[in-house]
Amino acid sequence: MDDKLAALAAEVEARAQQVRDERELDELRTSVLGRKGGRLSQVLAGLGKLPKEERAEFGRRANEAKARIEASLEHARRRLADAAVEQSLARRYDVTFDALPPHRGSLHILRQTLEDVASFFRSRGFAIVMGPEVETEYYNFEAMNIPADHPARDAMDTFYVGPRTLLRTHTSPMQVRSMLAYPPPIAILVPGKVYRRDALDARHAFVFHQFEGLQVDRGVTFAHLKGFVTDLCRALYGEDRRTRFRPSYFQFTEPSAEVDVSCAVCEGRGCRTCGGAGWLEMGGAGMVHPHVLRAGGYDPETYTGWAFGLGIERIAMVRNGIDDIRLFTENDPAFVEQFA
Amino acid sequence: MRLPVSWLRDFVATDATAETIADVLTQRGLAVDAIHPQPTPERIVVGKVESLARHPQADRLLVAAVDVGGERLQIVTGATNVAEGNKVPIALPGAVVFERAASGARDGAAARRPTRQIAPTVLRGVESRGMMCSPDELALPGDYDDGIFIMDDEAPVGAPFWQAARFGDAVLEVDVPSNRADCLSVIGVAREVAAGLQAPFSPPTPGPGTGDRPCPVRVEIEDPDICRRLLGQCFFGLAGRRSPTWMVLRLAAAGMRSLNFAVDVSNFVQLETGQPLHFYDLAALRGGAIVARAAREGETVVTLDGVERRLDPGTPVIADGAGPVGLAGIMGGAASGVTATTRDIFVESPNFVGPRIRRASLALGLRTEGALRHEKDLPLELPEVGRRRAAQLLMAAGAVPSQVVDAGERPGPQRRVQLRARRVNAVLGTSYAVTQMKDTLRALAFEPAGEDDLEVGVPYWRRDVREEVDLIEEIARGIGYDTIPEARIVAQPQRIDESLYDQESILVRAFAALGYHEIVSLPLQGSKTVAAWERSGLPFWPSRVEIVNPLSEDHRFLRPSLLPALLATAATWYGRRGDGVRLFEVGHIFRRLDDAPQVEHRPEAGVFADNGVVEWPSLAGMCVVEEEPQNGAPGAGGAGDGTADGAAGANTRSDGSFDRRLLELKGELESVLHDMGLTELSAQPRERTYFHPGASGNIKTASATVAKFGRLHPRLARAFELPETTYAFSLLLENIPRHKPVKRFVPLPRFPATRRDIAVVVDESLPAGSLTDTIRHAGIPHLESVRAFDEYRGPQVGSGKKSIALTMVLRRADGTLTDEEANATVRAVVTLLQERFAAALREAT
Repeated sequence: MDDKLAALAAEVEARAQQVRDERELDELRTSVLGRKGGRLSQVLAGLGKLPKEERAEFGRRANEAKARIEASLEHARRRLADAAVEQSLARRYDVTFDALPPHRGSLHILRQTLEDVASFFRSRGFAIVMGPEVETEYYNFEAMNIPADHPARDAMDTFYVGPRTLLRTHTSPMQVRSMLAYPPPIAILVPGKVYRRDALDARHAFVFHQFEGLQVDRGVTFAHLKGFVTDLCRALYGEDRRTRFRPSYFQFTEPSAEVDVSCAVCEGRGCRTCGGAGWLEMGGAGMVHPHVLRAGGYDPETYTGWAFGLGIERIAMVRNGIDDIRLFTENDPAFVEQFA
Repeated sequence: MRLPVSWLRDFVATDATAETIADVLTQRGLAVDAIHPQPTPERIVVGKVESLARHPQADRLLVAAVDVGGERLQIVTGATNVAEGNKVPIALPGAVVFERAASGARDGAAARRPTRQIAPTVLRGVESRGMMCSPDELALPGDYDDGIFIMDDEAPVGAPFWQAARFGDAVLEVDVPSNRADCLSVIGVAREVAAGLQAPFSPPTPGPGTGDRPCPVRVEIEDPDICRRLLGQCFFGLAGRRSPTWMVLRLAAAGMRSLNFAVDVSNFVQLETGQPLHFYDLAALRGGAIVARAAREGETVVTLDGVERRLDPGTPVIADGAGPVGLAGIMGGAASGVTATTRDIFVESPNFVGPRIRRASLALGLRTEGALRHEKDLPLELPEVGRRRAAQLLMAAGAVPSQVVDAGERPGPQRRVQLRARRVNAVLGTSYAVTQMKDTLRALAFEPAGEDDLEVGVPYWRRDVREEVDLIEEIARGIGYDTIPEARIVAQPQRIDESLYDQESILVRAFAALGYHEIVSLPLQGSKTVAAWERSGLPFWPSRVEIVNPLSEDHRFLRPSLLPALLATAATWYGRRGDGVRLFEVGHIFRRLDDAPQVEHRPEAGVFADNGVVEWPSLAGMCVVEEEPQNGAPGAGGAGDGTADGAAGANTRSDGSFDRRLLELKGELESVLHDMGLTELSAQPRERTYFHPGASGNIKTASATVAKFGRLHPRLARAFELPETTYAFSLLLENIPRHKPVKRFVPLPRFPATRRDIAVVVDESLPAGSLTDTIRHAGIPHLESVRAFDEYRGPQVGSGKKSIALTMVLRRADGTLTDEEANATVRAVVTLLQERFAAALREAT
């Protein structure tokens, strides 16, 4: 009996060293340790025939043999596991294959641009409000100090949708709407679509995106307007940019200014991007006209304010080097994915 | 406005270059958009053609003897427009002139370099020692008849051409702001230049220019709402006068062609003074009077452009005794116009009411130089200024003036505007001294008086200056915006509702994170959009907000939905990129209010139902997925695979009601809505014209619909060449919270959950949602959640039936659930379904 146990243990030890994979190991385990028909149980089945006095000794030896078998199997299991790791480690993967792109969505470049603008305004304590695109002549023109039959209406060729109802030509109507809704002081950013009855070409669109900044408080001055716009242009175009304020004329601001920013491409020396001028026109600005403040229910003797309106397309064209305004609304996949 | 710098220099004594002058103007708010240089080749002199003879050897050449001042040159020419006695520009040997431009290429002449060197030569045996120049060869601005440039008879023989012509500097294109009617004149711009350069300014000061003869034409204002002042005068004996060369070139540089002396004078005076004039052939005026009045019913006039115009009653006209002879302030009539042979003329120097002229000019589509000036409400003083200058020029040419006739208003007293010096600095943020302010105003002819509280007399031509802030701008402009410092101010804390923007920001991020690309399309749509849509045979939205004055057929209404543009874009993307197109857009959509009476005006939610239009913000999107693999094939797994948290045992067939992508889309929408705080959502089937009738629904809260979604109608998909597996959705933003809610912490479960799946056989028509809703609301113990994740139809369940697979999560809050408890819960579910839906248990795991 002892011999049989020893032989089995030795055989298992030998076979375990030969096992090549988990399946063979499982077969070996089952064939030896299986409860029904396992070879160890077969050997142990002879236990009953032994004399009583030998049984204890045999039991002890049987346990030893079983432990030895299990150790062999465990050893084999580890050997196989190590081999698997070694095998895995031996593999080489080619990281130079082209990346597989993730399925990400994207925000439109105009929204990305607006968000940069918005975060600047919010850092200065401005609130963002939005208004209707179908406006009345009153808010679009009269409240903005542009009476009927005034030649200033020429500068903003207007789409009408009904009597005295039009598509807003600027985001400025929200100046008076907001002043009527909130008491002073007020500091707002108004982004949105505006409409001009203008032929579509590389630089002109009849629908484009604008944003309006408005700050009205006691003691707000033109100097504050210059400071704010200068900081905004730096935030958008880089710390090296300079801004220039030229006198201009808008009915709803006075004094009025045209804001230019030094061309980032040529550093102001003059190039193709800036048409040789060294400066790029950014938009209109000025001190809110007393008429507009009164239309908003604010007392112009107590409160002063500045306002300006800039085109978002314009900013993106300069910042991102986009040379045709029509690209923004064509939604060509190659365009959208560039800014994803 | 095109402004010849040589003309400016008539009034401003300065050596500043054209570039410097352009900078000054730009810095003062008169932006110079372009500078057109005028080359001035040397060795060009005034020559007088003494004699002309046929070339002995060539029929088409002439031999001229030309006096060039102390010397007589023999010049051979092919010109046909030169006569003996003419004065012409002569390029002497050594001069370098321009090549003759090809017709129509004249605009580029000034940009070219002169390349043609003149040298003594022999032409067909005759010596030629110079060349008569055409306008092209001197790169002169403007349009002329073909041939040699003929100068006026006063030109001094032998003088350098550019000096004799008083021409040769650049032309500036000045962008005059619409409030500065005074700068629609050379004098007005010159005044700004002089102030900017601090140079002496001397505008022309013509005398009264009147004669003794009574004016044979009376002037009369019938309608003071059209005309405020009408000034007239006759001039006799004008026929055959030639315009001075300097006048011709100034007009040409300003963009006007020389026609005849009288017309040239009226144009010249308009450009120089800003006062539009009209000259009539005295002989053509009937009844001895002209009247400013409104057109009457049925009246017509043939205008100078030869067009017969039927006049709407009310159109401002000038009429003589027999009827309208011109459109007041806009364009004269052909019948009474002045020609080169007109002997006596009547000069009209009027002041019209701006809005009336503007309305008529816009209605007639005649935006003439005169109308552009009159519509700005010119000052009452200006007619006399213009008349005097015209009289000066006409009398210098030998015309005899009559007395002046004058009807209507006279100029009032000078306007005086109060100006507080401290207010100037308070608005600008500057610390200008009062003397600096006053000097700046004086430079522009304002008359400030007082010390701190000033009273400022406003020159009559500055009708745009009416109140204090106008003067503040004058001061800022005059001293220079670059002298205003930069300052920073912090915005006061305020309570303004920003939620519309916040909601949009959150949602666009959510959809971008789900793999959707944001697009921006034009809200103006038209026939192309409708035609593309209607190729499907489905109707386009009938309620459209039409543009009254559209730019084109393709942009004649406001979009009623974001879907058409999304579809068109998706079609491009699908064609280009194939599978996996996911797009969305946020923007306003528009309907007519009479077609949407139920819509509430809720500006705070972004909904504007006003002025006959409903406008509200919308977010819509779509996705195109690969055609589903043909199901039913063994091992295809069906649409259920992978959607059910690994639940196994489900089979589907393609004719079933389980559309994986539809439910993925629903899941995307629900997850976004959950983020916005909407947790109690239910979906219901809801047919819409543009969706597949059996694959579309609404997602609702207890009170409102918050989303629409579905598979695109197959006809629409086909019309846009998209696969049938194209899906679309839109969110009703006005019904969705505009802020993300703060989520409350729920204690983590302390005991493990058990999962049980069952499949029950029910009637084919029963929606899976009915099963799950019933289970959820039955209060079954230990049932934490239930989901329907798959369905099966086929022989194993019998016709008219289907098997729905449900997966349930079971848990006890206070201990580990035993097998027996779990079994009891499942039994309770099965019993419930048996009772309510006659469902039979098919399988339980």
